[in-house]
Amino acid sequence: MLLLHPPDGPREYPFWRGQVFGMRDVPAEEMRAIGYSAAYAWLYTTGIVDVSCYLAWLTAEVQALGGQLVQAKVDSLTRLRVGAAQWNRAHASADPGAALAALQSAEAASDLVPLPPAILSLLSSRPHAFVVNCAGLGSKWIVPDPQVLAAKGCVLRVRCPGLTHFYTNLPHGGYIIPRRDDVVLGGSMVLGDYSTHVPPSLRQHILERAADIIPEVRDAPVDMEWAGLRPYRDTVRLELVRGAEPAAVFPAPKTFPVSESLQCKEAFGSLLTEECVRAMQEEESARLAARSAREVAWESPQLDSAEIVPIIHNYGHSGSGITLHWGCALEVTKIAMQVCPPINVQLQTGTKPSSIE
Amino acid sequence: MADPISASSAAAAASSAAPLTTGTDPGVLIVGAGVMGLSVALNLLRSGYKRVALLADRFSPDTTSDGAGASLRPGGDYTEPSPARDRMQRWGEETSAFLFGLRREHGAKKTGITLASGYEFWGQLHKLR
Repeated sequence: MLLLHPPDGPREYPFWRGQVFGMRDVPAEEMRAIGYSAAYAWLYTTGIVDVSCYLAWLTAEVQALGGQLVQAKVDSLTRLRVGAAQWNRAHASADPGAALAALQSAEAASDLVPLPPAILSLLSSRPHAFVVNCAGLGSKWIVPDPQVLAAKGCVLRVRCPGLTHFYTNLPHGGYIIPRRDDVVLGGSMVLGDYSTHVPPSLRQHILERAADIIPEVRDAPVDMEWAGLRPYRDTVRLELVRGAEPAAVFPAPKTFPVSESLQCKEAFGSLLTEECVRAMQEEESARLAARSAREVAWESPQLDSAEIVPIIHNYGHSGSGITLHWGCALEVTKIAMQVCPPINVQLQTGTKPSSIE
Repeated sequence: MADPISASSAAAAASSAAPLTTGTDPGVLIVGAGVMGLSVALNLLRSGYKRVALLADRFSPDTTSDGAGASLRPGGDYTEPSPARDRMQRWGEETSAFLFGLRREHGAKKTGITLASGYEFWGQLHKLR
């Protein structure tokens, strides 16, 4: 996937034209009236989402329906799935009380990296039918999936009321997005950069590219600056896995092409050196190597599906998370219904959890 | 209509699958509480799952999702048709339709969803004097 767009621009409308409204070419006279010339431009109407506000709405809805938010860091999905299967067996045994107590003691005495108490508490309270992985960049470590890379982006949020349009695809990944109470100025997209600070040179660059279009932005108060790591992957991974992770899906760890990072280096100044990229690759290999031998054994393809709870993966959306999320959630739910429908559906249709291959 | 309890016992006995106690609401564990985790949770809960827990080390406003602008427009250069691209097109259209419906029902202030028009440039942008 390209990070910098081709200079002569697209000839055809993009595949996502149907998701937006009224997409049309921008004639030269219109661009002149705005004060710019570009090889090519589109004008269209689309949704703008103030994500923190939207997530607050989603959270309230989830909690109103009884969903629980649990603070706990999952270090290995396989560990979680195997643990859940063990607890499921205890719940299903002839004497659940004794089985649960036995498992508690076994967990406490185990020499393996323990599951966090909050997770053990959940597992011991009820059986679990499946796991859904929405860990984004974390999937790189906890699946593990070496195809996931960080694609770092920086934004500024400023106060500049009165803007009537958004502007996007400015040089080097810049954009201006007006929201209800603020304006978001972007951006950047640097593959393989895991740092989380906004370099002053990039902050300046973002402000200047935006000021080219909207001069008032230069004096706009800056509410905050943010560096985020998009969960880059060539394609989104949305699929059910019943047993161990299929080794065939993950070829040998992908070496990050240094030349791409240098392309970004030229655009943004000396933010990323070859040395820096090599250090990140070494850290990545070291982290993968540091996992315990027992954990690696759990990931063996020989792992029986009885020993591990199914998982539905839903990660790797790069910079299109908000754009795609609801469609993905619908598809995950469809798969979930086939793995183990909720009780009311089971009773209505007489289906049983499809835990048989 | 099959009795779910005996069906489950038969399943557990007959297969090597991880046994699930039917007659109990199946628990679901979601790892991650950004836009993906929360929207999956809401869909599952609305579909009748009662025991849904999100496991995460960060919650809004500290998730990756919180940093997004965001405009509804897929990224990437998928110029060649492919199954992956078809899926993205479908997911995107379903997402936009849902979000616009949400905005109509609850308003922009509560949901954070607005509509805007704007320009997307290609190639070198030159300011005209």
